[in-house]
Amino acid sequence: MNKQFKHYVALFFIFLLLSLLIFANFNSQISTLKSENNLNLLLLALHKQDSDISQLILKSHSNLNSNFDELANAQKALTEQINSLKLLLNSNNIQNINQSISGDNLYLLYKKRLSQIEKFKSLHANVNNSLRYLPKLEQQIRSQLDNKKFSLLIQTIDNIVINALGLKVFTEARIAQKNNRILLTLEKMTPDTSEESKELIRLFIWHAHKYQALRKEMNLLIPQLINNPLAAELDKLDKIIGKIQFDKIYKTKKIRFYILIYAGLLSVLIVAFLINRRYLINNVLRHKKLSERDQLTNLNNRRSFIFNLELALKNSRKNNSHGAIIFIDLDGFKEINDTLGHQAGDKVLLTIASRLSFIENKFSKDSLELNIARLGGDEFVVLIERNSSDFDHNIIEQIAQEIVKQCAITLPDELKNADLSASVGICLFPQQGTDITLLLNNADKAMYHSKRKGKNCYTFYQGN
Amino acid sequence: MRILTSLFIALLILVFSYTPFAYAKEPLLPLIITEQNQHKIQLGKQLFNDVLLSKNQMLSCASCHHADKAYTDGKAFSLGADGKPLSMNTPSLEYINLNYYFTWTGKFSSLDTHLDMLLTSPKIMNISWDTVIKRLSNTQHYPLLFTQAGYVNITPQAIRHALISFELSLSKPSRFDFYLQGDTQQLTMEEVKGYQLFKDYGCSSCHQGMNIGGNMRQKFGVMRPYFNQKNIKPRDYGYFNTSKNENDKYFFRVPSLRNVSRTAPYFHDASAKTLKKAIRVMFKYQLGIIPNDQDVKSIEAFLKSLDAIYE
Repeated sequence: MNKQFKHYVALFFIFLLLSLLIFANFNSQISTLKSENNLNLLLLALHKQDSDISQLILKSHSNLNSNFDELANAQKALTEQINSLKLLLNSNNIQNINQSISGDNLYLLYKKRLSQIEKFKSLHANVNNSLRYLPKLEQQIRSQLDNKKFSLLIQTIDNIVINALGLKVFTEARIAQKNNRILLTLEKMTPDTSEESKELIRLFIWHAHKYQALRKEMNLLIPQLINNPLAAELDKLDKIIGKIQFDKIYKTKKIRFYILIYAGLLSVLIVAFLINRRYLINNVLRHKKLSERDQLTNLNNRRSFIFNLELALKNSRKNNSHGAIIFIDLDGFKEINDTLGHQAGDKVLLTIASRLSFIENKFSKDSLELNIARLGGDEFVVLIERNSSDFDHNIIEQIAQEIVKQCAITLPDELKNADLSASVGICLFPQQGTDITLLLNNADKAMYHSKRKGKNCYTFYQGN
Repeated sequence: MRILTSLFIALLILVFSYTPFAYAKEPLLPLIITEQNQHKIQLGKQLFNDVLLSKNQMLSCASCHHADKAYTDGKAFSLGADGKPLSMNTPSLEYINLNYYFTWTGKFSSLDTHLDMLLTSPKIMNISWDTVIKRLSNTQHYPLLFTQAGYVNITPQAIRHALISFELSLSKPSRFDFYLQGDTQQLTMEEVKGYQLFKDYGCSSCHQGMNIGGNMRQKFGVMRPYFNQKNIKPRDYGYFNTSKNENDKYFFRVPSLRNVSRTAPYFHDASAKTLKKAIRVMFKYQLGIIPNDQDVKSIEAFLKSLDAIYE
């Protein structure tokens, strides 16, 4: 319940913050200045109109539009927009601020574009005329001439018409050249026919030449119409106006105030987040330590030992590695506890723990891992893991010897007289057991065996 | 899921098959008429017929644009304020709202600037806006009419606007418009044949759109030079006189063909007295074709079907 309440409070604060930010945004001069100024919108509309015109031109060029009404309307709209742009530029004193965007330059470009469009319209009409009339002329010639007698001539004329009809933008220079060559041969081929058909053929040649010339002019015009510098100039103007507006906005005092508020809120949020993060990390680390370590000796406790053992068993199954657990029980610890008190017992445990960790440091190598834990009371366990598959008995024996030796050394200070030694039982895995309880049990048995042998020694588990 | 996708695809195909592709469009379009404010039109009409708009109080707009002659005067050249003939033939005012630009060379792209020129030109009305406003304010009826039409004061803008709204209200549909809208009984066989020839020979490359012309400029004499270089007049240079661009020599606005049978004589220099002659000239110089009599007759019949129907 308490936690939920905290969540609600946090949510409420976030909501408050957001609404404050939105309020600040509305109040700031960014929005007000933009709505004041129609220039951006007008520029956008101009851009659109310009691209529309290019599109309409291409549409007309490919005969998708059969008339120029739409194009004329678009031109009208462009004219109106350019005029209002000129007015707006003058009223906003932008021309005076920046000389590189004089509206005159823009106006000149626009005039040029309009005249190009006019030229396109008239040329397109002429080209279309010829395109309609050439096939008609061909039909007339065909009907007048004997098909069998003048098949070559008719075929040549056919070829010219097909070439002319198939002419496309950008690719037709070569076709046009070829057509001109054929036309020259046609002149020589004029046969001994009636005057009427001769006249027709002469007319055909004349029209075809006219058509080629018109088409050539058209091809030069179309790329100019598509890559027009007006759009580039508009882009430039757009950038400059944007910069001017930005300067205008930034120079006002209010906007600086709001930027300060934004920055302040943001920095407070960041600092709070960082502090909270550090606190959480510390907390987690402390809890982890508490749960894994023994309180007195600072060795691993039973829980973490079992966790490690589980990992080691899993590892041995996977990588075919070997290991052992060494079970240590202190002899005579109970007497020390009884005679000298619990404080002395604790001291004994601490010294033993420090000696064991000394052994851990001594024997830890890259292929050998020692892991010492206190199970409770005077019982310690050492987990040995060997990563390589070949198993060396000797090293485990050495460790066991060292443990027994270290535990038998006399204790310092007031505990000098105490008689302390260790009984050690060793169980290997995975040879002598693959689950935790069995292993611990076996190691325990081996330890009891060494106790029965007379303490202060070590024993390997050898089945029952 | 599979059913859904197939349904989606079917829907897409349906949508795309119904999008209006422009392939089948006719080069000529039927007329669309929009309603206007009647008070303004009435005021414009009165101004149009009023001699107060000229300096010597002899001329009105209507003296050159007769309503019964499709707003032309039937003369080769109208007489100006100084009594001398003007340089070009008077164009028709009907369907002026469909034009992209105005006058024979198309040098004005808005009617306002055109009206300014007409009124202040010493050859035509020869008057200044101040005197016009003074004269109109001194009359009894004009101030009332202006307020009725919704203008606060008598200003040049108001006068221009009233006149233009009258000019824009002149468009009337013709039999050909009804034909294009689907009433095929409107045209006779001869006229339909003429329309087909009009498209086949390529007349419709220039005379196209809703106004059957008026939205582009074209060179007079595309196929062979029309003007005799020995006695060429300044007006024959066309748009070159305005733009001073060598490419614009002999370029004129393509005029509208609506009401064409009522607007004789033809061309800017009024060189063709009859419609037949105008058609022949167009064939020879613009298309490079020598037509036969039958074709000319059919096309003339078609052009007559473009006349506006008056109630």
